[in-house]
Amino acid sequence: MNRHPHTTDPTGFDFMANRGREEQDRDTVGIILAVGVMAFLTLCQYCGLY
Amino acid sequence: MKPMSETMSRVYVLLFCLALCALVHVPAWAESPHGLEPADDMPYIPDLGGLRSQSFKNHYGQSRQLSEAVVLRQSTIETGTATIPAGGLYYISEVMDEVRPLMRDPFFILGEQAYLLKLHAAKRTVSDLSLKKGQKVLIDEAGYRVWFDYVTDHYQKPYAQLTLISPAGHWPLEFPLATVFKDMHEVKDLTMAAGENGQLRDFYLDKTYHYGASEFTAKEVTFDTVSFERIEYPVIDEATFSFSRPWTLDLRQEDYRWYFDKRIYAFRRPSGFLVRVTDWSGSTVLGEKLVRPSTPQGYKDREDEQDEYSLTIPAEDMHVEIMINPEYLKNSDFAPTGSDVPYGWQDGTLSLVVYSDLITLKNGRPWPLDNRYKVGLEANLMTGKLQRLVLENAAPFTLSNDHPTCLGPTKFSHVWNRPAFRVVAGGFSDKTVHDLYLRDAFYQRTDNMVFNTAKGRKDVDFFVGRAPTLMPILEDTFLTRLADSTYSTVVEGSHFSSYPRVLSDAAFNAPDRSAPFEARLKGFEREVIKNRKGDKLTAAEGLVIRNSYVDYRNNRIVIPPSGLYYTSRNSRNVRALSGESFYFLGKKAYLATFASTTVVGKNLDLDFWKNQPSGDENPIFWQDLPLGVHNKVIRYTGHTYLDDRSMAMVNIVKYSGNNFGAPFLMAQGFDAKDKDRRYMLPGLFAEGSTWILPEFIGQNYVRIEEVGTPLMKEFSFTYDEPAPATLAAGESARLGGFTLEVGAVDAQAGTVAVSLKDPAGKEVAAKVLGPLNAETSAVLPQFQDTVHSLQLLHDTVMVEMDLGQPFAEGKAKLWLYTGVTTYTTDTPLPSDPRFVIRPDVCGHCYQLNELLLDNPEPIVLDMEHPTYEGPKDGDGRPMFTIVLDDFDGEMILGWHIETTVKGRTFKTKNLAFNPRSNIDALIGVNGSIEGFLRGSMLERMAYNEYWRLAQHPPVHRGLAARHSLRLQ
Amino acid sequence: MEQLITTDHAGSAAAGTQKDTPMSNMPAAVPYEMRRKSIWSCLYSLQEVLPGLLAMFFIAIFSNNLAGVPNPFTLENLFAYLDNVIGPVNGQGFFQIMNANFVWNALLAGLIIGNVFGVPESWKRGLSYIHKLMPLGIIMLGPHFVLSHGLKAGFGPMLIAVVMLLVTAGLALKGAKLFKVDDRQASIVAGGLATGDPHVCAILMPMIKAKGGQVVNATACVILFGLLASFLLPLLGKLTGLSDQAFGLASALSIGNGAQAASSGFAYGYEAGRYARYYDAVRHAIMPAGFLYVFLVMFWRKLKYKNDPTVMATRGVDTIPPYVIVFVLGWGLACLHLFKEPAHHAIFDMVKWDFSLAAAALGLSLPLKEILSWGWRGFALTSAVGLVRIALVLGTLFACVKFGWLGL
Repeated sequence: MNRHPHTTDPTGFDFMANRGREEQDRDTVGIILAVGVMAFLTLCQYCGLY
Repeated sequence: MKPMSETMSRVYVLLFCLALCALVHVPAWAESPHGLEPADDMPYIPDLGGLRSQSFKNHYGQSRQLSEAVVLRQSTIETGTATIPAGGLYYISEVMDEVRPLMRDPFFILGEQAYLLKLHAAKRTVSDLSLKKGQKVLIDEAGYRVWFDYVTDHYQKPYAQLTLISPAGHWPLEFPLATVFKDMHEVKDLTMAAGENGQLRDFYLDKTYHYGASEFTAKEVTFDTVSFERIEYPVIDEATFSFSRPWTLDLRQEDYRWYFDKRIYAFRRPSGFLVRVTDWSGSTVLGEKLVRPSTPQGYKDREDEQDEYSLTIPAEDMHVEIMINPEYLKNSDFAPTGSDVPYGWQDGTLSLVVYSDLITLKNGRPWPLDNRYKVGLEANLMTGKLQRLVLENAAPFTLSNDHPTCLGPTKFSHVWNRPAFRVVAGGFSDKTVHDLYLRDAFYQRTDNMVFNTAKGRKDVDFFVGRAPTLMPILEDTFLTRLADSTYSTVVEGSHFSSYPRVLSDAAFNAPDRSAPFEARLKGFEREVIKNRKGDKLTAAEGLVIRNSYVDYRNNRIVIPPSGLYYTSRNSRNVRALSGESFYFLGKKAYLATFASTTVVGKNLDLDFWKNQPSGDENPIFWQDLPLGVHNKVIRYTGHTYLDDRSMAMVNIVKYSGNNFGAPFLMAQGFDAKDKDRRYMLPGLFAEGSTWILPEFIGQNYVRIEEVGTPLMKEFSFTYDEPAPATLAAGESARLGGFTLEVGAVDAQAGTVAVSLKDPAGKEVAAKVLGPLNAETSAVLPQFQDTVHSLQLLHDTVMVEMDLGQPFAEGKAKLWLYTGVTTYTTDTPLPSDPRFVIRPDVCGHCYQLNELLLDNPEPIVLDMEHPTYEGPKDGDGRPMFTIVLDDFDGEMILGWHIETTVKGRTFKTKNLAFNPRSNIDALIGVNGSIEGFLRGSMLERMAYNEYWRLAQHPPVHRGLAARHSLRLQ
Repeated sequence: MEQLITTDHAGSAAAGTQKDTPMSNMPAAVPYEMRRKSIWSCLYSLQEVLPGLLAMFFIAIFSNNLAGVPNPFTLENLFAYLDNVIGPVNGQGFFQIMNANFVWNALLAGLIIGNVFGVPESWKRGLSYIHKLMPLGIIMLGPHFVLSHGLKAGFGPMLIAVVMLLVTAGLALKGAKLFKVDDRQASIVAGGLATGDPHVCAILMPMIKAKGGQVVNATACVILFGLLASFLLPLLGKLTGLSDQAFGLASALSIGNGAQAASSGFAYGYEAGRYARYYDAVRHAIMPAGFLYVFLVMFWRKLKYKNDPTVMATRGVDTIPPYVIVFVLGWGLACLHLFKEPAHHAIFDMVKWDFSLAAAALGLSLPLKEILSWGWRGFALTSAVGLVRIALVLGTLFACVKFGWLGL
């Protein structure tokens, strides 16, 4: 097994790999950010800020 | 500045003339293309990256809207070769108002930003000129033309609409001239009280029209010809520009500053600074002059003053001025950017401002970088300052399949001087071209300007760019172009905002400038009618929806009060005693009589009109001053300085939202007799029966001593065609439910005695009509007291004398009206009280100008109530129905208007083909709608092009992304 | 010196295999589970991620004109300029027809940088933010698809669009075996082709667990086929003699990509081009249905063939990912008109930011060989299914015109 030149760093961390607990956490963070951004922008608009 | 009511027929008359010209031969005055426009069907492309359109601010924070365009006109194609005459291809760089020296005013020259430094202006005078109606006559070598566009009459005496066309084709407005009416200064003699008064007997129109630096004096105006005593207009002989941003150096008294390898000394003198430029050692003086600090007083750019404010050393490519920079900009050479800066400031530092990359252009001389092109400098006719730079081909040239490219003038560039653009034409067949485009200095190109490639074009004319000269160039054709349905009904998508524009009352406001326009919809009549004299007039109905908005918080669409109006208007005011007809709710109606008054306002304070004061795009024009109830408002819309005197443009805005044809252009303190004056404007204004007497004209405010304009009280009409009757004394005729009896007929005195009897034989009305003699005829058909003296109106019938031949063989010729209805202003429409009658009056002549029916209450539409019926006629038939097809509570995705004619339903196209945020619309074509189209012509021409390609207005991408940063 | 992983997920280069690599002397990664303290642990430390984030940031702002960044030197502007130099093709910009958009501009920039200069090791931790940005972007796309905006064209066109979408996606998934295309790539092709939007390829990437090379390859297939179809369709349309309006609908449904469809429409006639833009809203409104359908079919298939090694799509996705559920919820709220237009535009500006950053990371992750290694089979599949769809769409619309249905 060889190291993927573009995605794997010397510690073996592959930035395109996405599975397990890490994947779940990343998804959750993405969801929280997405919902946060959308709610913020929508609320701002409802409050007439833009 | 033509009365809107008078303009409608012009388009058709012109179209007819053009067709005639094509059939007969080229008119004699078409030998030079100057002042003429491209072909009527020339393609218009608004955007090409290399042709810029931007606004910049000058040293004093004043905004200058600059734009460029390339135009090709008067070309022909024969045997596969397009021939373009000298002056046929030209580049325009134009500023919306003007640029002046000593202001660091920006200007575009072939895509580069330049600064105007010096200007040598002069006045040209032309005497003894005569021209016929419709002609555009060349009046000088440069190519200025005078156009006698239109003539109409008052009291059967002529007044003409004329204009001066610059070689590039621009004219600022049409002005009226007459030689038989009262001078406008005589309005000072009027003695009218505030409020309503009787009709003015006199009609005011001068034989001289003063327009700042221009002056037009007529010798005689007839229905066919106008002869001028004198025409005076400003011309520009020479202009010097700098292509580089200036270096700004703090001025140090009795010391020097380094400018690259040169020293610039400034020695204090009583009236300025002796500025001395030397070499690096200070031993060789390269130039020296007493320079006075330049500040923005208008007189300083006068011919005899201008040179005192700068030192120019052409050999060193240097131009030095001393300017005041405001304190807060100390040590900065940035011009004020964000917020406005006062016109003059007190706290500041003196700076030496050094310009380089100088170029001097001389009017009529070759462009210094390319002698194939000739320079034209055109002045603003009002201020005499530079408004346009034109570079035109000096010699004719041809384009053909073998020589498909014509290179434009070589442009100045800091990197690489190269052709500013190139015109490429190919695919020529014998008489047509099939491929035509313009490429700019960055090699960007337009779409193929032959839109129908199969058919081709018979010339290579075009207009590319956003120079405002497009507007006058399109004067003859914009209506035909915008009404063209080749590409279906143009629907421009709306911008959706959290703050829709909301007005509590739409009266006096114009519709959204992107409101869809559908010229033809069955049910809205548009017919040529004839009056008793045989004059042909166009009568047309229309519908305007204005200031509607989506109330997205409540999922509904609101049309505010007066936001929906039905309009009926003729190509001229509807005159009494002339048997003139108009259309009313789809039926032909004949005007019987009318009653108007003069409304006078005294001691009014009129603020300068400020747009969008509330900052959320809600236009609240609290500065508008009403003249009468639901009649007109006055609005102070524009101002500038002429020799530091405030010049004001005040408009009268009609209930329909259109401007009265004549803007009031006024300034105080000018004397027409002063031979040394640079400008002339009257201190008051009067045209026809509308006048204004200002007490004080300031740049932010006009104090009005007196202002007056007509107001319509009521009018009477019938759907039954009036019938002629020639009756001798003692004879009688049936008139509706009455019997008309003619008493004494006195042809000598011009009177006829008439009486009306009911079926029981009882006399219910009697009157001696007349006298109709030379004296009374002189004020007909407009003067209503005289009109009324020739008419007898009783109940639903009316009898009036004939104007053409009132008496013949001892008999009186009368016109009999039955079924007459009288409508009073501001009363509900009897057949549909949801609508209110608002007749509009002519500001010149007191006649019925337009008939409006509008909604006094807001109209609300939503998906539960998706239809709204327009005003109903006596049979209960609605004139039209608004139908909402698809609306999501915020975006209108589908709506249309439908009419029913003889049982068949006719629909407009989807007026929200692209999503809309309002249901503003213009349906039909009449003067009011034409006025709105004229006001939004530049945008609409661009929308047409986006629509053709199913694109949205361009965002700032490509090279435009850098320009959008507005780096100065 | 370096070789590619070609047989398994790139991610399987776990710590235990490090001794086989030339870099085996490098320290092994601490497994995520060990360093995890909370869900926020996936953000890693700022020090670790900053270089990668900066790389994504700079690639993004030099790729696209992004809200709040007045940088004129972007790839988007370069393409817009070149569009102007080339001149409109059927009224459309050439690079628009080539589908240059905010995802592909950044992807292209990332690809070029990654392949010319390689990817510095220090960037890699930060580049992993792509996995947060993908669900983030997908969810924020929710307000973009409003069903009622498509319904303006009427129920009939909507119905045809839905049927065509499902048939196309179904055929592409079925045809994968026939053309011997990896089922992950086939899924991406199915999504991209059925919805007509190459963005969907990117959206499907994390759902299907497709490899970056497959996504880019499939996207290229969809774009290339769209380009060919935009020339082919007008010729076929002329044979059927469709009305301009019907042909506009045909373009929108059988080509997809807005500029390509408009180009096809304009090649047919002026009105057809305008209607192609109009009906684009129909296709657009049901787009989520397309990628959700592909995902659900492949997810169900994986559950059915648990032990089949050839079933790769959605392998590793054990449940329906929560972000898909949140997206569907968001889509539902959008259809209920919770997001007003100004908010929609503001959210979409954030989507542009998000996908620009993510696409930059994706571009950096891909050696060119990896894209090319997926060969031309995908294109054969795309073309075959695309041609069948063209035939179906033209046939259906021909029938509509013939029998006067739908007022076309």
